Amino acid sequence: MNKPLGCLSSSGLAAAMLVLVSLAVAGLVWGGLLFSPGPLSAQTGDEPLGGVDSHAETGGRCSACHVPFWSNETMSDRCVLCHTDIPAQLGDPTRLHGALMRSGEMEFCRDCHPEHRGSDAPLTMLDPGTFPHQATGYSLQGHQQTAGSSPFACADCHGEDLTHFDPASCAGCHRDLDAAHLQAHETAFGPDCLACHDGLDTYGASFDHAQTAFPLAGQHAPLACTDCHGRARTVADLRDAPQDCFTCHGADDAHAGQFGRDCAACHTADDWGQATFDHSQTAFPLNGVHLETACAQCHAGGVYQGTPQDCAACHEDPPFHRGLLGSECASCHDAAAWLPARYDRAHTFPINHGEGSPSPCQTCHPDALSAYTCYGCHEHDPAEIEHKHREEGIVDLRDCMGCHPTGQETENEGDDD
Amino acid sequence: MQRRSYELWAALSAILAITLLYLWVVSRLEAVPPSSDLFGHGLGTAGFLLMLMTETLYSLRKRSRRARWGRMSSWLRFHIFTGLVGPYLVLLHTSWKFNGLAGIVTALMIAVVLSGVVGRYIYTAVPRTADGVVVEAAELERQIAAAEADLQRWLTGRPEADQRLMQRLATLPDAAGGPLLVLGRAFLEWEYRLAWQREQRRMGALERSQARELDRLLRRRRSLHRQVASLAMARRMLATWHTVHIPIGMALFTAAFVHIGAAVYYATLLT
Repeated sequence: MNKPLGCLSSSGLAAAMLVLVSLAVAGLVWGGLLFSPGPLSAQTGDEPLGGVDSHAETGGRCSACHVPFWSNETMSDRCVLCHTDIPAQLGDPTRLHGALMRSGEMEFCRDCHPEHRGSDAPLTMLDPGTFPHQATGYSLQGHQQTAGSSPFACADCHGEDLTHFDPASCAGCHRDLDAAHLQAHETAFGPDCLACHDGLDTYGASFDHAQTAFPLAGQHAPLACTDCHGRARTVADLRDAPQDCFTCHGADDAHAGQFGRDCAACHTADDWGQATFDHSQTAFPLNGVHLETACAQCHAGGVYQGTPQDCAACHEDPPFHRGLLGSECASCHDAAAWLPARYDRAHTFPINHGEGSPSPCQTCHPDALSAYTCYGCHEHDPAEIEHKHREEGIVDLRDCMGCHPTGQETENEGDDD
Repeated sequence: MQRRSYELWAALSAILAITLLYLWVVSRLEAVPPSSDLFGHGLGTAGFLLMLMTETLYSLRKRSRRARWGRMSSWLRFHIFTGLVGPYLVLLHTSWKFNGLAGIVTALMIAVVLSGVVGRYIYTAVPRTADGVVVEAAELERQIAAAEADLQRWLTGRPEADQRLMQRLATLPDAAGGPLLVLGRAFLEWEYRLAWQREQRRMGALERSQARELDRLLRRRRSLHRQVASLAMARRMLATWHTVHIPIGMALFTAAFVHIGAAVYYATLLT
């Protein structure tokens, strides 16, 4: 080498020294501001944190956030020294910060919260391509394109402040898609879209109601959502929609409340008219002829409650009984058929007569139970009976049982001797 | 492309390619790439390395003539190339923010680049050999004598019209002397070319053909005369320029190193 580099000349070295001294003085006067790539945010929170109202108030105190690269501390550690509510969120995957950290997309606070971008610049900046938006409680799965078929930008919904969301921004696009539907929807369910919608569903035509506890069947299938959920304002409201029939149908209950609120016990969603009432579940199970009896024959005038269960309420005591048997019809008759009846009670005359008769009682009591005749039986020919009794000197034949209480042929025969 | 300035075309091409790459990144990010991400740091690092090469390699080569690694003119061309492309990369690295020390470094860098352009202009006013060795006045006088002889040989036996043409072209404007002869020579050359074009339009086809050869001889003589006249001034200006350019350059690199140290401390190795 002939001579040293020009930069190592006295003027060059003097300039270098001058710069170093100037920077040292500037550092003493302004702190780290000399190295600041831009103003810190002046955005204020709800309350002072770490003794300042905004990042800008830290001034040139860079160490409030920055740590030496040889330190075990991280910048995020410095963040939570002031933002003390964040560590709890980070450990909770149901919270935004916890979900973001768990997704692995966001490692450091500054990934989403860049600084030195100006005093008015928003403190939250997210990459739409990697931000797990579902962690906020609203998935963008159904919002890939705007009404104008262009990709969604954050500002389309959030404006300038990503931490803010105005439900009116939903209406802006959805009015373009279907103004009439939106108008009706807002009227029915209110303007707070996020109260029900989470971005994964539409609760519209594609919503599968069969996956709920109340599958829509029969006449329920074509109903509009508002017919049942008209007052819902939240997902909880939607899920709390009453599932009992009476809440909706009570107003036009044809039974006037006589059958209680459990319409489905008889009716299905297919048709009101196809009622399938199971009378056997009542205190008066139907059998026999009662099964074929029209409802109105017992429940006249549509009155179903308080229907008497005793036979006499419907079945008049036949004249044949002459009021001798009381109202316990069922003791002789059953519902399978009124006749033949059975008689199990005590009978002064042995009932061993009249086999083969369709009405055994009428064999002896042809007109009414108040009178009897012994001549209904083929063995008692009146002429022959009269002839035999006349031979015995008996001429009054009106009260057979007076002499034959058991009906035996030889009964009382020896008494005349 | 002129062979003597192909380093400028190479630098322009590189700048164009870098610009296209930058615009592509801008379109992908839909924002100006920040200084502190991988791309931004890549721009800054590459630009600074080129600037460092600008600052050192040519000076080292000038001071190690015994080694003779390549021709001086080639090193100068590389010096110019890196001196243009490096600062452009650093300019893109700023993400168009000029706060604090980073802004000071950028301002110093722009000053050094502009100073370098001026220096290069003054430098080319001093005649040199292909290896960058300054041609002394005596050698210039010898070359002037040779040029004069060539001119006289061309005029010998020529008709009187050519003699008059030579008189007309020889009286075209030129600088009287002083700093304007060094700094304003491009303007003077441009003014001469305009006058020469006007003269050509007044000539017939035959006269124009002869005039072109005469113009070449006259321009050679004219250039040599100008170099002799401006040699001392150009050398003084070059020395003056060095006293300004080197401190600015040192200030730039000192501030740049501090900036890099701060960036490493505050941003690059952030955890």
